[in-house]
Amino acid sequence: MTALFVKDLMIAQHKLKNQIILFLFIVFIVGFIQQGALLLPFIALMAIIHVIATLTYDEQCNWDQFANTLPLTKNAIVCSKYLLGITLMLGGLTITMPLAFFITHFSDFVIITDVYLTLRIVVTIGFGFLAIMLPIYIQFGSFFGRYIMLTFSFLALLSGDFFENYIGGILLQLIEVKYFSYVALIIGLILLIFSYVIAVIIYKRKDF
Amino acid sequence: MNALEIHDLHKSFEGFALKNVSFSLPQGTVMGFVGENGAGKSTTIKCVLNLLKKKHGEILLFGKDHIEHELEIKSDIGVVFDDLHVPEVLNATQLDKFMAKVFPNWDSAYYFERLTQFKVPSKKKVKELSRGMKMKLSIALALSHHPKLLILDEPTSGLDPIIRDEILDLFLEFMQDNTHSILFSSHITSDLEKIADYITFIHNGGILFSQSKDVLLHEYGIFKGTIEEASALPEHAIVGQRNGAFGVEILVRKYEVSEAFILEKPSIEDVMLFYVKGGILT
Repeated sequence: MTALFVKDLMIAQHKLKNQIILFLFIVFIVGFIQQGALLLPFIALMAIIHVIATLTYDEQCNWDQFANTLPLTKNAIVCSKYLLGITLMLGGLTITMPLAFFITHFSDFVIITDVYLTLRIVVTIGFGFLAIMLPIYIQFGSFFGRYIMLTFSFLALLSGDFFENYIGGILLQLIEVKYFSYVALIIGLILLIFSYVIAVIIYKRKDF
Repeated sequence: MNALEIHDLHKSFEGFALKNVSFSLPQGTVMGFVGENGAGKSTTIKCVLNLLKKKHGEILLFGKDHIEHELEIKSDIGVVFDDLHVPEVLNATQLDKFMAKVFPNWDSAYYFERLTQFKVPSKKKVKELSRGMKMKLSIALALSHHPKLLILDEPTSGLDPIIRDEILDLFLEFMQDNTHSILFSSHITSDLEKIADYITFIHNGGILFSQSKDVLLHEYGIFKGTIEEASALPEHAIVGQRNGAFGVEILVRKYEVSEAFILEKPSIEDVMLFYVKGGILT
């Protein structure tokens, strides 16, 4: 599995220059509007986009056909994608945290503890997103996966009123309870594990 | 011992099916796996590699079940497809790092020697390499953990004769070790005539024959003459017949016809064409 992880990191390295430029641009914007905590969702998003990009690269070159001729288990092939997502997200957030604190320190809007709360919420949402996205991409490929994700987003927008009026209210109340964010983190992790099990089943059924 | 044994393999898709595919590749030999496009060569190979799930049948590699001992078997095989299926943004050096983590016995020195021999640039991204270079890189990747069995799925298709010859030389070098074996799928029969010991011919998803190349080429002969002359040939000796403007060409079992008939030595391609286009009479 280390091999697969290293291979995906090597692909990341290919885009590193562009990602650093984009990151610096976002730091500038976030610093300008004095919202340091906004850096965190951005980093989580970058990590997720990178995992999607590796899946797309793999699909373009028919990587699975090659990988499955090597002494690698199917579990390891799937697990490497989850590991990559988690590592990039947590690694990126850890590196970005001091910067987020620094910007927040000079801000009038957000207090330091809010950065921690944002972090937990961002990680939970990020885990949830990975948990939904990876099995979809493994099952349908990047082309259909993208459309399915867009359909989900569209449905989420359509159900905005419903969400705001009913579920959103409950969610906001929960988020206001600081300790819920710890529980949410565990729920995110459980979702991720559950998603991994489903993704492995899907992958094992596939022909290459 | 057989490097590969396939018994009664079945696999079906919409509009195509592998039926009763059975053959074996003895250790220390090269088997040419021939057939026209869509005959089932790649499907069979993919079933062997468990890239496609077989409907039923038994596949043994080194005497072990290909699913039960999948990882163990895959440590001892090298696979080359008709294209290089690795992310195009990576280069040969990065692929070396990856493979070194996959195979405990990965031989980086041997890998870079092959790249130098083939003049494959180690720092150039895969997407910047020509098709020939990609195939050479693919072969270097397949060989550098010193596998016992090479499975080659059309590795020389689309390559010029010079590159094909270099690649065939490398396979012959690989075969210097008599524990090594190669399953070589191709429809370029001239390549197989150079290196194959056995020929397995697949047509419409079924195996038509699987036998020693020498026996195959000695067993058959081509009779060329008029229809009247051909009528003297014993019917049981005729394998296939093609009618032309100036007469007929008939593939016959050499030892079942009188020596009075002048027969030409066929090539693998001739045998293949007679079987596919000449109408199999027996």
